[in-house]
Amino acid sequence: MFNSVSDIVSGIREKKFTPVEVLDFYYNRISRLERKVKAFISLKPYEELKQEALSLDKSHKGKLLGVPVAVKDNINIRGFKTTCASRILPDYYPPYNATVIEHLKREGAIFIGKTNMDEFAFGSSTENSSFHTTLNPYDLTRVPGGSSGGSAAAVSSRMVALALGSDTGGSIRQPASFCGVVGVKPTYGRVSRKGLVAFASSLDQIGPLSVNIEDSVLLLEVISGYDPGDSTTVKNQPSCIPSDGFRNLIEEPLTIGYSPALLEGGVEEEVVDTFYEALELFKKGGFKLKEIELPYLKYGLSVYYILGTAEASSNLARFDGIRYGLKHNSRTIKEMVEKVRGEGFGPEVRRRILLGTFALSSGFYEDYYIKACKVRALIQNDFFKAFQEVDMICLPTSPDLPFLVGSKSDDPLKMYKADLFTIPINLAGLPALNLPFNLKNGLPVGVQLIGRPFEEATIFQGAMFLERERGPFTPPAIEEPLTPHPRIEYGADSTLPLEEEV
Amino acid sequence: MKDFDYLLKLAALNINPEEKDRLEKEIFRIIEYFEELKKLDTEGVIPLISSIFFISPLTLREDEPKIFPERESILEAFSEREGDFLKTPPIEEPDAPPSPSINISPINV
Repeated sequence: MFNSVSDIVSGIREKKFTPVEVLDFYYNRISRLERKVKAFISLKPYEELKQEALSLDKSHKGKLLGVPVAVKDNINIRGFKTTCASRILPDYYPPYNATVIEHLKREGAIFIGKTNMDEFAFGSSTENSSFHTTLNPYDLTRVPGGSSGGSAAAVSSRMVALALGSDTGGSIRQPASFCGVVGVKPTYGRVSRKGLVAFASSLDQIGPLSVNIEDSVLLLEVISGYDPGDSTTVKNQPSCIPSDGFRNLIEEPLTIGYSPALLEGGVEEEVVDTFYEALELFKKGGFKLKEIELPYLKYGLSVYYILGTAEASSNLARFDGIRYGLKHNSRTIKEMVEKVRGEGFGPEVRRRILLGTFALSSGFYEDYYIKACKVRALIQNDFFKAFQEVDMICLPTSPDLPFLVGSKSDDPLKMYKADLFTIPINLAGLPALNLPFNLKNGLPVGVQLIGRPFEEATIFQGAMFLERERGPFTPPAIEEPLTPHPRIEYGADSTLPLEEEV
Repeated sequence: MKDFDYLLKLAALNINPEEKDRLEKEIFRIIEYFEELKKLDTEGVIPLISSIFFISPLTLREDEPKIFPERESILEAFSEREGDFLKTPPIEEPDAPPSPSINISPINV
């Protein structure tokens, strides 16, 4: 087992092991565990990966030399299908790499496969995937969270060293919390979304998932930066790397804001306990704690499900079966578009498109869309006021422990509430991360740290402190004795796992 | 409900009748939940439509024409193609009665 990405890279450079040996370590785990976890939608065949690993130049200066990475299936990689876990994109091979993929390639990373997700990233459990539900490596009867559930589960079960996800309302942090891994939602404007299939363009960010903070810092640094292909990316970004390790906390203590009022009602006891245990550690370590008020945060759900669906209904208008995607023979173009969309989109996608269409429709636009934009401003203002007094804010990541498969899937509102603590951060455009903190009843519970715009370095510093003080985090116990095992069969076209195989 | 049919039309979604009833109930239940925003006083608040933090001036790239190297792979994805052209079904049914013709008289100069 490798402890960190830098272990892999320095080991390869110092010739302690080869990129093929690293690949074999992870691919072996995939062969043994993927059948249970079902984290992937497509996997590259082993022989091709081996050729890639063999062709890596050992003198390459790349920061991710030989590091196996999994990528959420809404991010374009040439040679892999992009499905967004939707039936409307059955065979779309993107004609270009996402900018984040170009960055990773330049640093020598190896792309193992594309990970499962809720269809078009609409969901919190991967149960909205049109293909299969990914299972939580800590308890295979429970969901891994979502929408980047496949990426979180792949990292959690150590089938890859790193993964990319996307976060519109919590889709990196919530699955990271459920699967006991680190997940980061960067500041809006830090990472290019060119090549990410858009969900809600004023909220979407791509971010890293890893087993520790150090690895996420490294991956975020690699993918950050201005991109002419995404006009929201910002030039001259402050570095996300904590500058000189730990600040002297006695001379210069950091202040953590927290809001007890937000924990009342609807938050599981184990989550509240974990939250206060984390605060206690901060206090012992010399951090200052300060109670803050965030009165408008509770309206985040309504605001998000108006704005997010409005933007999504507009972004998803491009899926019409004309230029790519599902095809349908019809007598007129209108009939074709309606049939392709009716058949291609799953239930949650249809629901959100209709909600968004409603919010933008004439007569309701002012009362819903514009009203939500105004409350969004009030939510952002809550944070800005708090940041005048504190350096970062600590909240739970999810109000729930990882829940049982099927337990929320018949009630959309219940499912939406899983994003209660993560949504407001996207609305305000701030950076935030999940740090796995402890296990309750064998299930991971994380805490969330939120920072000022472009102050990822500060929340990383706080998270590194907690990570060190809480001690090693127990990985999931899905290990099996290493026995010769037939390599997992993915369909002839190298994509969908064959469900019927045991 | 007439409103819901209109919404389906706006969203260009063809949905079977059994699903329609269920979906309609769900949608309006969720919209009801949004009503909580109505009681908030937002008089004078400027709507926030995006949250870009301008730490440096927003720069738009130069508008330069470039040849996209993977042109063929885009054409290959077309639902139907004729040479380099995208082919679609007609806008109106082929055997539909012709739309009332408009009398266009040549402009007298």
